Amino acid sequence: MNPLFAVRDSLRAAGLAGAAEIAAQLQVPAEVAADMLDHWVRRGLAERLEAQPASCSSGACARCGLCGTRTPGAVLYRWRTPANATPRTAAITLRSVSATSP
Amino acid sequence: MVKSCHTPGGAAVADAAGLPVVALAGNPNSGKTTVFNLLTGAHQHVGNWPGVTVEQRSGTASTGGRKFSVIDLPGVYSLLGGGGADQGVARNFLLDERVDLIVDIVDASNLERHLALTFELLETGKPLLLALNMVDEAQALGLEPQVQALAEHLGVPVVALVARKGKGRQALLAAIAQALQQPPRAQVPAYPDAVEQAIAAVGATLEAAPTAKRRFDALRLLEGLAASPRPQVQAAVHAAQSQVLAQTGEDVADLVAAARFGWAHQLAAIALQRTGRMGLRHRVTDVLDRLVLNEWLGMPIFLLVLYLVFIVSFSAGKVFIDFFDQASSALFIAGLGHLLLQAGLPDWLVSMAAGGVGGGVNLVVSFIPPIGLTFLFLAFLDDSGYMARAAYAMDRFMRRLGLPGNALVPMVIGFGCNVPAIMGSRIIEDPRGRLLTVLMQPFMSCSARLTIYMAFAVVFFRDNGGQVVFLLYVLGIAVALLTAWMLGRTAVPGEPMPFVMELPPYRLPSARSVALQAWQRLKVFVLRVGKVIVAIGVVLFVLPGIGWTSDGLRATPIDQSLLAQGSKAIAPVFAPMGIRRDEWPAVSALLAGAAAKEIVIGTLNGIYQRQNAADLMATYRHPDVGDKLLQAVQTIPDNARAFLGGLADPLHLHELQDSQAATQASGATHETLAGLARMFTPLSAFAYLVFVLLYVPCASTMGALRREVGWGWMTFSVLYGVGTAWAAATVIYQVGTFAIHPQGSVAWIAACIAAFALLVVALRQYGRRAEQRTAAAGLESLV
Repeated sequence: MNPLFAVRDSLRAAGLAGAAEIAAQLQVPAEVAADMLDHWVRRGLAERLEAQPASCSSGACARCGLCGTRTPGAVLYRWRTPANATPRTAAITLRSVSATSP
Repeated sequence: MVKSCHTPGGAAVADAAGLPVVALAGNPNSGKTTVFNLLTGAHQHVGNWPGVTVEQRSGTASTGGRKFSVIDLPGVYSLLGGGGADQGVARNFLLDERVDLIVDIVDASNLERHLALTFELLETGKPLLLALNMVDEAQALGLEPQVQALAEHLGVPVVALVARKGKGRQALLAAIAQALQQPPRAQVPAYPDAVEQAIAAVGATLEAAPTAKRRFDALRLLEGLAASPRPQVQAAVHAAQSQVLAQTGEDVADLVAAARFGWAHQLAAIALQRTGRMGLRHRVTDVLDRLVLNEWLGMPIFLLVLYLVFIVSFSAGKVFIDFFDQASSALFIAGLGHLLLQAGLPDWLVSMAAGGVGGGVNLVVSFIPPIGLTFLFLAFLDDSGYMARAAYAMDRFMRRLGLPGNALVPMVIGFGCNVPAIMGSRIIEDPRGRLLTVLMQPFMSCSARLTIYMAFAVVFFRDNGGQVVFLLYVLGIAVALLTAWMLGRTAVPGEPMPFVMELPPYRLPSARSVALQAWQRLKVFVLRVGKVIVAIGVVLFVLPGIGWTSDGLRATPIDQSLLAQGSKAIAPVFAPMGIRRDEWPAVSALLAGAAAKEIVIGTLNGIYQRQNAADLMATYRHPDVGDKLLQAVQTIPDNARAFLGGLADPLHLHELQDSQAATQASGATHETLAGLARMFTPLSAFAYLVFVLLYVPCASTMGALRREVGWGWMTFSVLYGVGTAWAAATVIYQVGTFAIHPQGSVAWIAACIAAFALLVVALRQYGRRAEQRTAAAGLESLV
């Protein structure tokens, strides 16, 4: 199956997923998976969620500064169909993944 | 030697002297500029592209006596659109200008992604040469580039490069010379027939000459990336789109993209052969991950790492604690008091400023070494990529227990503040997981609690403070787990949801980054905690001076003050956990600490400084700052020797019951620390710390709880926290003193167990009723 359509099917089945997860499932590099997911976002069939690092998402860091996380959040993708209104996965994201993640 | 630069009239970058034009194209970060420098050396010119402020680099190079012009184009992902002005420049140049050869530079370690642009470059029909850059990085990943196979499949020359190291320069120059002489005949990739027909149909309505640009214009229209003002063109586009959909069941835009991704995927599989010989870094990552992500080893390894962090932080920090304590005491208490007395200020004001403010500063400064080291190690672990793995290991462990895996993640990373951890639960979409996550956070040891731990550890657990602090952190995690497990089986039944986590590769953190991160956290910690401790120190320096007498509210000695009276009245509640009635300052601190945990130590500081104000006045009159500073410096080598000696004998648990030895060993010069030493035994101190760990989270945390889960669950969290704290502290104290009063201990422990059992039954009832309500309403509404 063409990888772009495999990504579509995979995200549609998962509801909500990160590029690394899809990449691992389909044996493609994470960046390529992200590019393919971005294609589906451009086509209006998926949406991109900017998930901030959990311990900083309050914006309270400016105030407390103690959580120690200063890294950007990762990106999640959600398939846009009524059937997936209740996502099957929930996410706490840590860091943006690199191409070489295990 | 520069032969080309921009001309005012337009986009003419082509060489004025008629030299062949070689354009370097590729994705951003593919190493184009490095290749450009490699080819042109000093013969280059930097200017702006016409009409835009995008840097234009051009230059000349020669090979085999033949000169050619080299253009370093901005990085571009696609010729169809997207990106900023710089990508537009590259796109227009490649489609519209005279180019004799495109050198397509791709990152071999990221080949599949970069090949998507190669597909489009081949579509332009212009002569192309593929430069496979960064082959060393691909090899480090265990991928061996198959240059010959790639060249055969593409029909164009392929050159392997490590431009950064200058490797492959000659081969590239030779390939360029050959390609300029005899343009290669590339195998242009094709779209499915239906798409090719659509391109032809739309292209026929376009006015542009039948060039690559017309094909790309047609593709842009079909993909919906552009629209034509001419109705007949738009009609042709719609007709073609409908026809493709009818023929294939897919949109033309998806088929076009799928063709490129599919082609790149297939080609990358051919071009890179897995050798199985990974580079050192990836081998290390692989081996370490097999250990730290192991189902059974992951959790113990995390606990071991955490244990080492606290042991090393506390033990090494201890070398400097006395220096920081004594030196800051000499400067901020004795020195400041002396200066103020010299300035002629009244005694009460001197006491308040030197005792309340100076004492507070002294207290905060004393804990800088161990807390700073803890932050340093945590920053190191965070930056190295380990903390993300610890969270992953925790997730697996928790899911095994049927708990939401992501619940502890926010706090594991950084062990910072409960408030942002609670707010962070917002991104968990499963209401059950979110509720459980929120209710677990107040039990995690935040940095404010670390001050209290450190103060007590310095006094009571000087030889095994690291272990005690570690134990408290682990206890917090254990209670959080227990809470989620219990609630998940009673009040909030349901299935845990999987969660997404992305793991960064391991890397050796840079010393600068780790130091900076630790310093920022320490700075914020010292300033924030310091402000609270100093402010509360002043308030509580005054407050214990007022009391209710037969004549009404009057100035009284501290032991008859309102604060003392109120605290003494409540003190019996804390008797089972080892706090006697005359230890009322400990009770006052707990009451005040409900607002913020830093206040616990601030309160103790204010009260003890006040109690000893008379003694301190003598110190202010004869501060001996110089002598005290000298003594402070002398503590460093003494403590360092003790630290080195202690490495051979890391566990000193036998001292837990020995109050006197611990007090003497503490050597605490600070009034507050000395006050603690008088008031507690190590056992009651540990019970007190457990209470501090588990009872009411600070006011900010309560606010965050209310916002995230509402009044009801916030009230539950607060009451449950206080109850758990009391029960845990009581059980610890009663077990520790069992031999002294076995019957009493049995009664208290049994009462705690019975209360917990009752709570479980009540929560189960609540859960059943909630399920019935949910079933009746047909809704899922937990929060």
